[in-house]
Amino acid sequence: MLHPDTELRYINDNIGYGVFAKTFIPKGTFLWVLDELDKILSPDMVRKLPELLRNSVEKYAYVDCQGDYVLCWDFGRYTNHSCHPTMRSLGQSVEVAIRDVAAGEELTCEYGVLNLSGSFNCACGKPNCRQTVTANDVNVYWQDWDAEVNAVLAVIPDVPQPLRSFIKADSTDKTLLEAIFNRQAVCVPSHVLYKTEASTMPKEDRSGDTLWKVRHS
Amino acid sequence: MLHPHTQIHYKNDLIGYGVFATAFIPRGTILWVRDALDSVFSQAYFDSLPAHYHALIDHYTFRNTNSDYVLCWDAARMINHSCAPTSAGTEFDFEIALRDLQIGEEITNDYALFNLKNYESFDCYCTETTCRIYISRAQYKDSVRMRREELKHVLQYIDSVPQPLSDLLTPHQLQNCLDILNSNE
Repeated sequence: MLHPDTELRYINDNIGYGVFAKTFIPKGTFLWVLDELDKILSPDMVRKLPELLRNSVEKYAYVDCQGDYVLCWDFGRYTNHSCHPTMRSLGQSVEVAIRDVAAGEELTCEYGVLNLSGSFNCACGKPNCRQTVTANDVNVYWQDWDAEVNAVLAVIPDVPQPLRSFIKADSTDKTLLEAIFNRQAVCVPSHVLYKTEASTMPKEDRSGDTLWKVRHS
Repeated sequence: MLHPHTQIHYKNDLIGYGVFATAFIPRGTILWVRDALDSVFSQAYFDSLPAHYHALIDHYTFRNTNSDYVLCWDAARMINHSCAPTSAGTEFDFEIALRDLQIGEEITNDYALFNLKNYESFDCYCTETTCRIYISRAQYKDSVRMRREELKHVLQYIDSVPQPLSDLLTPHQLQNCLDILNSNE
């Protein structure tokens, strides 16, 4: 579910729709969370869909680290990619604002962590635009990306979090999020969240317990 | 799934979004078919969710004839009410255009068919000459009768207009609808 202070806008025929902030939103705010209404489809279910629906899933859903398709039930699925995104993945169920978002600014995320099956050309126009976004990018940039998430962990408990109560009850990030709100989390090595094919991390490091590290004070 | 020649537009702060035709769509066209990506929730599942989900689900779902909640995965959940709707048939899990839709015309349903809860009654601003001003479940029977008459009339055109959603509609679904319409249940 997207942050309530957002709206859908049509950008142009090339990009289509995008999601925009209606108000100022401070960094550290959860801009999207995986909620109870988001649709999760196994690859087998997707294969068996009529072509019309399968095409829609390929266009609007992303692939999680289990290889399942996640179709956001709300406008979350219109969030565009940027090489200098507004939000980054914090675990599997949260996208957090890594910078302050001005009213009217577009909310963007990093498609490179969404287990892309192919690559796409990016025209985000940011100075660090990678031109081509691929599933392998995560192996190259994960430290930079994680650093941006880690830099806002400390402010997460201090800003309003209207989406916190909507996080899916069986979220694998529950302990992580609890630690963050208890100001115990040190870092979130999110690169281990990516599907095997997309990541160079050894498979045994992918269990829920090793997704992040907590300092027990 | 909604007909591909449709798009959502923000109408105003009172109504919110609506669904509009992006091309001419002739009467008899299948505008929507319930599909495998739509979610159907039982009352028990609704009750099991935290209370802050309830308003959200009431807002974006309609209730089918089993009183289950249907959350359309696409813009179909943005279809607004009108007392002179352009689309009907939801209770048969598909909808047909009740009249020709010009580019920019809105796709609308009669919400009185949707098993409204008592607290879901609402003031209507559709401005149609047939506007019922206040919509509630008390109008269910009358709405069923009116919409089914219209539906029966336009179903005769179903084979003579382009049907981009035909792959999603099963012959059984259509036959079931025709049987019910012809039996005047």
